[in-house]
Amino acid sequence: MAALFRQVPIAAIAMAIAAISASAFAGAPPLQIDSHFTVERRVARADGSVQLVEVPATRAVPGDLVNVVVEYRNNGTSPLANLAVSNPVPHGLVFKSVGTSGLEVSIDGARFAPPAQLVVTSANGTSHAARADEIKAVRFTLTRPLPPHQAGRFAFKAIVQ
Amino acid sequence: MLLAGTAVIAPCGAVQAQAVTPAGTTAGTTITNTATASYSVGGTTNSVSSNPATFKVDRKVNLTVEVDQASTTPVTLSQQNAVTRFKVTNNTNDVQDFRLLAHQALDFPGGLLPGTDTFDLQAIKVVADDGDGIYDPIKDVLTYIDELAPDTSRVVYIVGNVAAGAPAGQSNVALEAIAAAGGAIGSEGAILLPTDLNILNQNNEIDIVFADSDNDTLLGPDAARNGRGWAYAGYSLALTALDVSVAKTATVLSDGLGSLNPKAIPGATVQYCLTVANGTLLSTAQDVRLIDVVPTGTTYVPGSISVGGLGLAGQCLLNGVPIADNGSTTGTYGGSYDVGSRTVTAIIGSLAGGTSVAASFRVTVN
Repeated sequence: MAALFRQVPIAAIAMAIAAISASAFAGAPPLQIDSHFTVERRVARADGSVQLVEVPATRAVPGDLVNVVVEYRNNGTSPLANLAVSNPVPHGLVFKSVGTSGLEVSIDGARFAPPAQLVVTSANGTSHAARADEIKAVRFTLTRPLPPHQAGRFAFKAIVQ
Repeated sequence: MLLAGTAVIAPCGAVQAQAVTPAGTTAGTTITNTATASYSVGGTTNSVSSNPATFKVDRKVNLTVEVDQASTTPVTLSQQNAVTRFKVTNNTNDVQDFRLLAHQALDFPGGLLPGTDTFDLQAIKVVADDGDGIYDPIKDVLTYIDELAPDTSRVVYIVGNVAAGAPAGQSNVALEAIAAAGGAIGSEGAILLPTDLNILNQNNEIDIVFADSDNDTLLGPDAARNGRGWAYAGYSLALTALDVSVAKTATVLSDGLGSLNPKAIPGATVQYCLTVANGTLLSTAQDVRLIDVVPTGTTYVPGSISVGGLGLAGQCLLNGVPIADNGSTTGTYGGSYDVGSRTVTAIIGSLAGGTSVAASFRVTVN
């Protein structure tokens, strides 16, 4: 009986570990992020006015401006804390501007700062405010936990090289 | 070429630097974006990556066509393979062929002509240079530009012949280069057509977008975004290069025996007929004079010089004007006979383009 009594908690702990494993490692992760490219097109409306609409980037040539859009969603049942999404500027694109407030940028993918505050120090010791074409990565952070079933998006603009 | 976004863990400063030419990322290149997120749940930090979002870079067709010589090409009458030099630059973000067309001035009303056009070249053609930058009629025979890499140029020649009777002035020509499909070495690709902007869902194809400018103003044949470029050059034919020719005939007028068909026997009178023609239309030859030496074995008949229009039915002159031997002039014509050098000179003066004048003199056979 004593032996059996000792075994019960062990089994319970094992089951608990299995449950944690199932929620953490099996199935889809609670955070889903989707990325896509869009471009702005001028579309004539029936009343003759012109409207800027965002359409998928099906046609883009060098020099065109594209939006890099990232959407995030909490599909889990718990709030997600310390959410940070990093997005290197894709090869073939040159960073142009942030499309969402709160985005930070980086020239090396390691040190991030708001665009106006990012300073580049050259090898000869001089420094200058980072130019758009020097920015190699973008980071988005949420200061508050993302509640379950909540979603959001951020975007930045880049030019096809 | 597949360009994929690097993972966020790797520092991505200089490693992302890539050779991008001014024409831009090569058409067909796939641009990929991947975002990586980190978050905490229950005190554990996890990370997850997004789907790789992609699109293909489309073909941005652009070209530059320009004259590659400082001024018009000076030519002479009857010149063969007279060359004007152009340069075609491929500003497209991919390798392209270019179809080449040579035009005469009448074919491009409104073009940026380098001067007033007075004549056309003959046997006009256009060829691409073989790479050495020097025109060679044997080696430079390709009639299109084959496989021109982005941001590179090829010299192109318009070649033609100048007619023997071309009028002085200028011949204007134009080069029209048309973007054509590249990819097949040694064969001329089909002319590119822009993808219809109304067709959606072209994500997996390389669309064709024309981005060239209008390089000859609104009046010229070129237009913006037509996948073509025009440039203009000229050949100049100087006023001195006139097609003036002289023909000489001899007719036995009499043999002193009253024969019906007189022969050039001693005592016979022979008339020499010199005809000068200006074959250059629209250009007048100035200070034309005919000089002939009386043949040995003959004696000049004094006062026998005559100048006038072309005669009919074997006659040398029409309305011939008798000319004195002393160098004086009669009307616009003049002439002389120099006993010492046995030389007959007939002074014609100015001779309008496309006209002829004849001069005659007589000798007796010794």
